Amino acid sequence: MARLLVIDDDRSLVELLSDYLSRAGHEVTGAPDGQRGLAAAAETRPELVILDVTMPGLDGWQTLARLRASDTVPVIMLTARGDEAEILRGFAAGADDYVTKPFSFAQLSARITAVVERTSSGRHPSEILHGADLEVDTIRHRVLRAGQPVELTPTEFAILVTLMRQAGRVLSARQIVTEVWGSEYMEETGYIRRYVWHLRQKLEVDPRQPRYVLNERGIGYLFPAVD
Amino acid sequence: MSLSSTNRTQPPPPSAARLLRMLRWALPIALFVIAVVIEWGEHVRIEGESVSPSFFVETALFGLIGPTVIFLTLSWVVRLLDAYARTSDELAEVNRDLEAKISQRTQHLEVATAQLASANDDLAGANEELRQLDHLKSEFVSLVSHQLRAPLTNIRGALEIIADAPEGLPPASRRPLEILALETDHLSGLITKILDVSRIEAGRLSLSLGPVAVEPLLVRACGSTFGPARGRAWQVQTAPGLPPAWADEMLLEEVVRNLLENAALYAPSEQPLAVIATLNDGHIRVAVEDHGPGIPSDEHELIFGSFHRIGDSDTTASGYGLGLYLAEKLVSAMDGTIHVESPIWPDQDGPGSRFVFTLPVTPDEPRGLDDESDDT
Repeated sequence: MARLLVIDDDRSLVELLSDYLSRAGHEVTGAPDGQRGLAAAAETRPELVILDVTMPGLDGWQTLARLRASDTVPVIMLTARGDEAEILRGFAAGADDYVTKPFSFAQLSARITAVVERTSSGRHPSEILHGADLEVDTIRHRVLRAGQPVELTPTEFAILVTLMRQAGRVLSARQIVTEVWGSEYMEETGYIRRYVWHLRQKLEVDPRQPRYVLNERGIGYLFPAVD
Repeated sequence: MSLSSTNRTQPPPPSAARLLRMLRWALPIALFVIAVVIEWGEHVRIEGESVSPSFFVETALFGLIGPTVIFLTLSWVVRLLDAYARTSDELAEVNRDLEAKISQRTQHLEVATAQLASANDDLAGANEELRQLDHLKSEFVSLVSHQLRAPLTNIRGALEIIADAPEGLPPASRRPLEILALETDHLSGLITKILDVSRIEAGRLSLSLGPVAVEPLLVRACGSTFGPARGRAWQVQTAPGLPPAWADEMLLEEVVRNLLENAALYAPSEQPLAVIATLNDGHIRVAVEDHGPGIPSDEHELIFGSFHRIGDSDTTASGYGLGLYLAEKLVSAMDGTIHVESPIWPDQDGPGSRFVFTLPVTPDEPRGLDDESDDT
């Protein structure tokens, strides 16, 4: 299915992953450290790299940075649980996804398939939405306003993405609720006002004069279309 | 400390006292001599009288009575002064004693203060040592857990590879392998929880607060905890018009999952678990109710401690005593409270428990600043 490169100093993991992923139809190469991983990447031209963060010598971040200097190959990082800062750092450095140890091979395999499909379908590994000076990465769940990160909760993020995907169209509260929570909550539109108010507090430069999440009185909300 | 600054009348200087003693004698003698000279001059020289009995009487009258009165008065003053001087001396003595005592006590006090300061230093040192030990313990637990993750990933992976081709296995090894897979999942769960706890204890928990629609979150948490495979019945009841909570969505879901897992561990699987959300006293109140064996009242507080489990390890379910601890830490971090009520049913066999946590309500947006939206 895909040419994969696994870079991890844990030789048992490399061996087991190679076995598991080969059975799933992938062609797997392993490398025991960052330096040899870079060499293998240059040689085998993988379609996806699985990269461990904690390695002696050249660690996962340094390896990723060197890999990114010359290549756009998608990378899934193997990180430690709970290190959100590390995960954000990984995304900023150009990682495409991550799994935390201990992970299940089936979970990693599903991530590999998703990332490879995104990449091979010709789309950018991430779907990035733009609007004015706002940049929203729907895969990495990252929002940048004028280049600065804005922290949103998952639901606030989902509301923003719903509006941005249909920029220029006014969406009723019912439509937004259905999109974000599901049709069984269609009648629970009372939430939306508060969500939008708090979303504006975090997102807008001046929440009293919103630029991103606008209101059409009596109809609903809209994200203005990009000119 | 000294009393020298207090108000005291100083005794007369020694020279003044000496003068007064001299005057006590000199003044009456001088007056006597003057009286004799005046009487002699008056009677003998001016009036030409001879030294007569009347001369002696007058001389005695003027020359002795006045000086005697003056002598006696001065003697009384001198006695007073002497008494005053003695009192002053005694006072000074007492004062000196007092000062000595104060100085002694001050010294004692200083010694005691120094000892106290030293004891305080020792205590602070011991405290710091304990803090460092606690930190070391957390670091150690975290390190061990991190170190365990790699082999555990490999064990899980190896088991997944074996499970992918079960037809090649001898029948006798299938069940042990299933148990191995189950235990590996348990161990993974434990390590994940330990890492979460050490993250909170190390103050590395970052909150992303915002409005949280309660019902969808509870339904999602129940769904992800009890997938179809678990065969556990559950129901979520939410009060109509419940406002959104003000919380961290991901952490809140983790709290609910921990409470559900805990309930599932102890309550019989044929009884449904209920999750009930209401608005109570301006707070969101979420209750997880089970029909389990209940929790003795003396355990109600302890149950939220780390690694605390009810009963002895032989009779308890296979929890690790971290879920409730984690739930309590997370709820507290989100400005909420958590407690347990038990028993809750009049049922001897299944008195049940109700784990209740509260969270703040999302503050209402100021009216007039925001706009209205229609839900049509």
